[in-house]
Formats: sequence, C-alpha cells, structure tokens
Amino acid sequence: MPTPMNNPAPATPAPDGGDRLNRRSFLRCGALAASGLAALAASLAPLRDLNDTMSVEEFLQKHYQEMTPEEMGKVLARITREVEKQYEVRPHVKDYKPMDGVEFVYALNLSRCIGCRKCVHACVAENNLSQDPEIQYIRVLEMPNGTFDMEKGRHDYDGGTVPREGHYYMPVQCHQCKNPPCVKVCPVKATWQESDGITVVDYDWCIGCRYCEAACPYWARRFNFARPSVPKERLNPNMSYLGNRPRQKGVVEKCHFCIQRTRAGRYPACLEICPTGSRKFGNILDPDSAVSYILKHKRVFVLKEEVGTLPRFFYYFDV
Amino acid sequence: MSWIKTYAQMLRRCIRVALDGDWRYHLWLGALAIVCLIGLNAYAKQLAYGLAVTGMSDHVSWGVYIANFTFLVGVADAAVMLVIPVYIYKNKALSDLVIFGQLLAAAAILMCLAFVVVDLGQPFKSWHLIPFVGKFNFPGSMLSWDVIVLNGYLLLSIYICGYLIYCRYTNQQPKAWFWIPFVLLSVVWAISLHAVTAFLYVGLGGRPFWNSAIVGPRFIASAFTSGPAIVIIALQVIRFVTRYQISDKALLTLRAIVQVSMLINIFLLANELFKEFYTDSLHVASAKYLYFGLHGHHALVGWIWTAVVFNLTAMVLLVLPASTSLRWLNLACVLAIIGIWIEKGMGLVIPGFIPTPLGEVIDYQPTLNETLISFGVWAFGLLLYTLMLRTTVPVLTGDITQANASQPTTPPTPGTAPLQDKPAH
Amino acid sequence: MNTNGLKATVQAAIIVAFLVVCAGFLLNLWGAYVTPPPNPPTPFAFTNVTTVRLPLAELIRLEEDTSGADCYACHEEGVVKDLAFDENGMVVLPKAHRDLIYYRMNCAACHNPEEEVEVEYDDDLNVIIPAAHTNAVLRHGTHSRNNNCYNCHVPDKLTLLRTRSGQDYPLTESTQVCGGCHGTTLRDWEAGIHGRWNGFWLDMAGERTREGCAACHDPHAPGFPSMNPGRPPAPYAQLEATRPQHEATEEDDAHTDE
Repeated sequence: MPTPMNNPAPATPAPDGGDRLNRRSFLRCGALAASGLAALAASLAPLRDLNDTMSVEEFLQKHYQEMTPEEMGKVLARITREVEKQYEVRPHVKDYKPMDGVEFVYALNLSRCIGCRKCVHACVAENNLSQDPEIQYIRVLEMPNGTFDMEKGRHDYDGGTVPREGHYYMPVQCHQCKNPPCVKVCPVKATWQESDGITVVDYDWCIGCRYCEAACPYWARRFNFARPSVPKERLNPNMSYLGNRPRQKGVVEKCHFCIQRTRAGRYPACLEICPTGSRKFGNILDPDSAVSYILKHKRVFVLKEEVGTLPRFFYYFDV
Repeated sequence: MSWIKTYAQMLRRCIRVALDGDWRYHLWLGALAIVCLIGLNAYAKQLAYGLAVTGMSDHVSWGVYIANFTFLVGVADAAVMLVIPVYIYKNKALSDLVIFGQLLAAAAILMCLAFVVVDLGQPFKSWHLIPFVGKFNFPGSMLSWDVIVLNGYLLLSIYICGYLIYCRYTNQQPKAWFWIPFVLLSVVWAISLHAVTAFLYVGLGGRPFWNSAIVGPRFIASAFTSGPAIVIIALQVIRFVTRYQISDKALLTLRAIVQVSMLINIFLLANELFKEFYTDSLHVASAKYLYFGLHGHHALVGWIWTAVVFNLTAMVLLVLPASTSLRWLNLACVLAIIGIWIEKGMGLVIPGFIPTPLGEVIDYQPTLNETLISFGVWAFGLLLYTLMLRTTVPVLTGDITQANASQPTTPPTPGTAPLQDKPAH
Repeated sequence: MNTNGLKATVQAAIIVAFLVVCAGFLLNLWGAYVTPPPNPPTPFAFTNVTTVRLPLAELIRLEEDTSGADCYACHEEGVVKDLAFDENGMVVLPKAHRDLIYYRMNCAACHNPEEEVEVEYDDDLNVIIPAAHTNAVLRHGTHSRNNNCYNCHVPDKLTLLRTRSGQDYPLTESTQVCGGCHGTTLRDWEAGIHGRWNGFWLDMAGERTREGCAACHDPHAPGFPSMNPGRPPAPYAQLEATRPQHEATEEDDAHTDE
C-alpha cells in the first residue's frame, strides 16, 4: 500500500512544561470538563416542563393485534385510570370488535349540504378532539358551482348565512379507503384496516413519523403537535380503545366513523347532527340498507378516483 | 483471537489522541460542542412541548428535519463515488481516500438517523421498528426499507473502515475476501440506499409533485454531485490540518465525477420543468408555488432561484478548464453543495405539501427551535467526523502502528514529520 | 510557547462559552415556547341534534301547546273562507297567521340557550321575522306556483289536508300530501335517503327514527332555512391561514397566478 509521505520537516520536540504548566493544564482540563458537563445538564432543563411522561406499562405495551383479552383488559384499566386522573371524570372504555358481515359505507348528498359545519363540531364533541391546539377531523369546503378544483374551494368561509348563492359545500373526512395508502406506508403497522372497513390507529403504537399524513390524498389524518386539551366538562366518557379515548402528544389520529357508536349499531355523530339529512351511513353488504339504495340508484362519485384508493365515501347530487 | 486484543489496543491508542491538537482544533471542537448543546436544549424543549415548537402543521407535516435527512442520505452516497473509481477502474490515487469517504458516509448516516429521531413524535417508541421485537412493516412500507438500508450501510461503512484501518495498523495486506465483496456490496447498496429514499416520496399518489419517476434519478444525480463536492472540500481540510498528503490528482478525479453528475442533474431539472409547465395541468400548482408563487404565497421563490443560479454557475465552472485550479473548483463545489441542499430540501419536501390535497396554500416557516435542532445535528455530525478523522489519520500516516505500540504517541503538530527516532523512556 | 498560550486562551474561552450557554439554558433566554391563544369552545347549538322545525305531530308527542293549530278556535265550522289575492296575483296570508307560532321554527336548533336574540318590530308592532326563518308570505314553489291555500287544505274541513287525487289526511300525516306532488322525493324518503334518519343503522340494535317532511320544511315556505355557519377552522399562529379571501375570477379558471 503506498504511503502518502513526502519530505518530512525536522521534528519539533513536544514542549515539556514542568510541574506548574502541567497543573495549570490539568486544572484547565478539569474546568473544561466540569463546565461542559454543567452545560450538558442545563441543556436538559426544559424537560422539567414535561407533564405527560409515559408509564412503563405504556412503553412496553404490545401492538393491539397481539394483545390477549386479559392484556387488553389491563390496558383499558390503565386508560380509565389515566383519564380519571386527568379529567376527573370516570370514563367507560371498551374495545369494540367489528361485526361479521358488515362493511361500512358513507354517502353524502351534495345537493343537501348547506355548509353549516354542525358535523365538524359534533365530531369534536363526540370524539374528544383537542380544542387547543384545534383538531377537527372534518373539513368543509365551500366550492363555487361548476368546478371540482379544490384549489378554488374556501375553507375559511364565515359570516352571513349559508348556503351562499352560487356555491355548494363538500365536507371531507377520512374515506376509510379499500386500498389505503396510509396503511401501506406505516413503518410499524400502527394503522390498519379492520374487517368492517374502518381504518384504525393504535395510538399507543404510533411513533409519530407522519408518513401516513403525507400519504393521504384526502388530508384526512391529523397529528398531535402538542398535548391535546379537551375541556373537562366537554369530555365524552363513552370511549373506545381504537376510537375516541383521549390521545397523547406525538401521535396521529383521524376519523374512525365513530367506532364507539357504529360498532354498537348507532349512526356516527356527524350524521346524527346533520340538520338536512345529507349524510347517509350503513352496511353495504346489506342490500336493503340506505347506502345500498344510494349506490344502486343515485349517480355517485368519489374524490380523486385516479389515485386508486377505492374510498368508501361516496358523494352524489340529487337535484 | 489475538486480533481482538490488537484491535482493542489500536482503538485505545486512537481514542487517546482524539482530543489532542492545537488551538485551532480545540476551537473547532469547542464551537461544535456549544452548537450541539444548544441543539440538545432545543430538542429538550421539543420533547417537553411536542412538535408544536416547530413550524410544522397538519398542512406541511414534514419540514427542515426531513429536508436535511434527504440531503444527507445523498451525502452518504458520496463514499461509493470513491469506491467505484478505485476498485472498478483501479485508480490507486484514491485508495486511502476510500476510508475518508466511508467515514464521511458513516457520519452522514448517523446525522440522517438523528434527523429522523428528532422528527418523530414519539421517539421512545422507536423500538416498535425493530423486526420481530416490534412490528416491522417490511416489505410494504418504504420507510421500513429505508431503516434497513440506512443501518446496513452504516454497518458496512464501519466494517470496511475498521478492517482497512486495522490492516494498516498491523502493516498487513488486507485479505481480499474480507473487504472486496463488502466494497462491491456497498456500491450496490449505496445506489439502492438513495433510490429507496427517493421511493419514500415517489410512491405517494396523493402528492403529485413527488409522484413522478424522475425523482429517483434526480436524487442519484444530485447526490453524486453534492457528495463528492463535500469530499473535495473535506480532503483539502484534511490536507491542511494533518500531515496526510492528498494529491491533486485525487481531487481532479472527484471533480470529473461532480462535473458529469451536475450536468445530468441540470438536464433532469430541465425535464422536470418542461413536464410541469408545458403540460400545465392542475398538478403544476406545486411547481408554480415553488418557482413563481401561488395565490400570493411565495416564500420559496427566492430560495429556489438562488439554487438554480448556484447550480448553473457551478455547472459552467465545472465544465470550464478554469476549475482545474483549486480556487475555482472550491467555489464550484460550494455553490453546488448549497444549490443542491436547497433543491433537495426546501425545493422538494416543502412544495410536495403545497397545495394540500384539499387545495389549501399554507406557507411553512421553520421556527428558531427547529433551526437550532438542525444546527445541533449538523454540529453533532461534524463533531463525529472530526473525531473519526482525528483518530484514524495517525494510523494512516504511520504515527500509530502496532510496531510502535510500546511507545507513547506524541501528537504531531501540522506540517511536521513523524518522529523518526523516538527517545526511549 | 505562543501556540500553548493561544491554546490556553481558546480553552478558557470555551469554558466561558459553556457557562454562558448554561445560563442561557437555565434562564430560557431564547426559543421559549409560547402557547397560541386558546380557541373558544363550540357553542351548544352546534352539538344539538334537534330538527329545525317542530311539526304538529312532534308537538303533540311532546305534549306542547297546540292551541295555535286549533283552526276552529277562530273559524266557524262549515264556513268556507274566500282567499284574498294581492295585485300581483299572490295569495295573501291572513294577518292572524303571520305569527312565529305558525312557522314552528325550533329555536334550539340554531340558537344557544344563553344567546340574546334581538326581536324587531314593524310599524304595526308585528314581529319582523328574520330571513333565516320562513317569511310571512306563501312561497311554495318557484315563483310561488303553489299559490292557493286550498291546493292542500280542505276548504270546509280545516283540520284535514287533501291530495290532488282526492284523499284526505289529518294535519299530523302531511307527508303523504307532500308526496302527492313530490313523488320522487317521497320515494327517496321512504327508502330512507331523503331527510333525516337517526338512531341505529343496525335494526336489531334499536329503532331508527325518521322525520316527516314538516320537521324540516314549513309547508307554506318549504325552502330549508339558511343558517349561520359554525366557526371556521382556527388559523395557525405561526403560519398564514388559508389563502387570501378572493372570489373565483376568470383568471382562476385559467389557473394562472396573480
């Protein structure tokens, strides 16, 4: 191997300081190390403000799909304890399982939606969504007649009354796609699709990389950039593990078709509150359901069909 | 198994000289340490308050962390650019430099991993990524591929360097089977490393700015421009502060690589611009936002045009024979590095999110904390690379060898030769 | 010696720098996180599932005061009242019917309990009903084509409604009367896709409740009332909010930028 040496200069002997110099340099090194360590310790000072440290149980918790019913029971007990401690309300947390022979489909009548945003706020109330910072699963777009270009839509319409002349209103939320890009990209399988069609998130498993948020073509996923805060008096105590139990900072969440309601046979909150009845929900595998009727008789379409996500959320016009 | 003992002896001796140096060295280390600590403090704030301390939002959910990560994965590819000419074209002038390149790759990968960790909302739950212990979504998720290729490349780099340095220490000829297959593997691995990182973006149908086949080739072209450019600068620094001699021939070989890669990079840019602006479909909105601003938002316009001007200038300089002189070459390299850093960072990651899938245009502005954390990670990487070089150059110059193991090592000052006849103690 | 002295200076400078940043960290001199201003909670009206109107059937079910629907409190039995038309040929609603009670708008559907609503009066001291409520004119159909009370009401039996085909229904079963003209809508309503169906999607879990036409549509002015929209999404503290408000112009149609 060739040595990269060329003409060396005469060697300079290393300075031999003597005792005084050695002691001084030793003290200097000591002071350097000490001040460095002090700065290192001080740099971690903001951790004093950490108010949501993870418990050991939560840290070691298994993935939802690998938990036995006993382990799930323990987890639900832990969540109940933590919620009671934080909100002073005793919640009822259950793990709702999907029903057989059920595939949920949502249909939204764009002729009837008046853009009142009641669905947005009903969802916030039902699912314990954070108020500060604000998280809303549903986003209503005010679109001008004659186009589907969402760049022309307005998200911040306010003032006056709705519906405004010349516009139609399009609420968008998670479409629980059959071919979900968010499930494909999650590196730890913290989000997956259940047999009834709902794409769920295991909040305790999510590492917060936000790849799913980048992947979603409908901007349906939300991330907890700060610790979510729900006013104590507004907490909905009927909770589910995969649904509306309070989330922690640093995890992703999204619409889950009100899993705590729909898996108990009820309609989602957004449907219940819609004053015009624009929202329809049901089991597509049941040929007598309202949604089967809509898909059979109405001219439905989906958003961004070319992306190939196969959404379970259909829009249609009536008049 | 005596090699373990010898290896430990070599490591001990190398680490002992890690902090030895003159005032410039201590100043450099001190400055880096301060920046690291400031970055650590900012990260502690982020752990305490959450990612709300950054400028990211649900609209633009990846920011400077992932932008820097993308750029640095390209830098890690630099090592392979030194490997290919040496081992495939048998260019002996670059042989030792392979080690410097691999060390740079290792430092860059560690910076990448650091940037990913600071970007996570729940970093302590990263154990969920460990295969069989957690739940690893391989082969479905491109992020899982990225975890494998990044860590694998890190291990490869550390192994190759570790072996070659050990051979130099013991003054042995490296055994072919112990390193050549790994080096060839690292060539393939490096290409796939950056292709996988590109695929992170390309595979997302909901982000039309990224969902294009050209992203992969552009990544490789820009990596092979910026990576060797950084190596050119780094080698001149090594030449200046240590006694390790690096011939200009090595630098000029690297120049040739940067030159060709930059030409390809610019050509691919032209392709991209044509496709976006000639088609003029609704999907052009992101490119419009980046180059011309959209609906009154033009935060990135200044940045991207700076990058374009820098890259074009660098390309012209590299093509002209004037850049065979180091002054112009260095200028071209610096321009190329900055240009590509902008192009791959803010020019790729941010416009992918704007407009959002629902048509909103929201600007992204990194906060002070975010910037401090980024600087902290860069300082950490530079600190690691500095320490790695400080511990390995003496072995390569022959100052620390197995032969003189019984004698204490005197740190040589720059510009002087090793002590030929060491005084007995 | 010179280099050593410089080295010592550098090391001293580093020590000082460490202590300075140490102080900076402890005193939080830079980068302190400022929480954005809090968002107001959602008003109660936006979580209220009630219908915008209370039909007669609902009033009876809730045992509310239905005296306003007792026609023969003021009218004589058997006497057919002639309709009055204005100069435009539009039927004039009797003054006595122009009361909020007749429109039976459900205040709670849009207003909060603690909200203070200003009531405005005209010169004759009649309540001016806001546009969001139905108006005090008969507005059924485009250009009020359904311009005759007796198209639905039975002239000599005011407690009944009559379809065009001659079938009579009590006031509480008005849905079939509406369906006599709005057949396609009735068909959709019966399938459960027009109007509100609340409760349970799963039949065996519980009863679904279906609202009749009159729960949303005042038969005299059936247009669904407009509402004040709920609060828009909160603007982000550090970022600009959604794009500057401007109407879609022809420029936008060609999607060139401004």
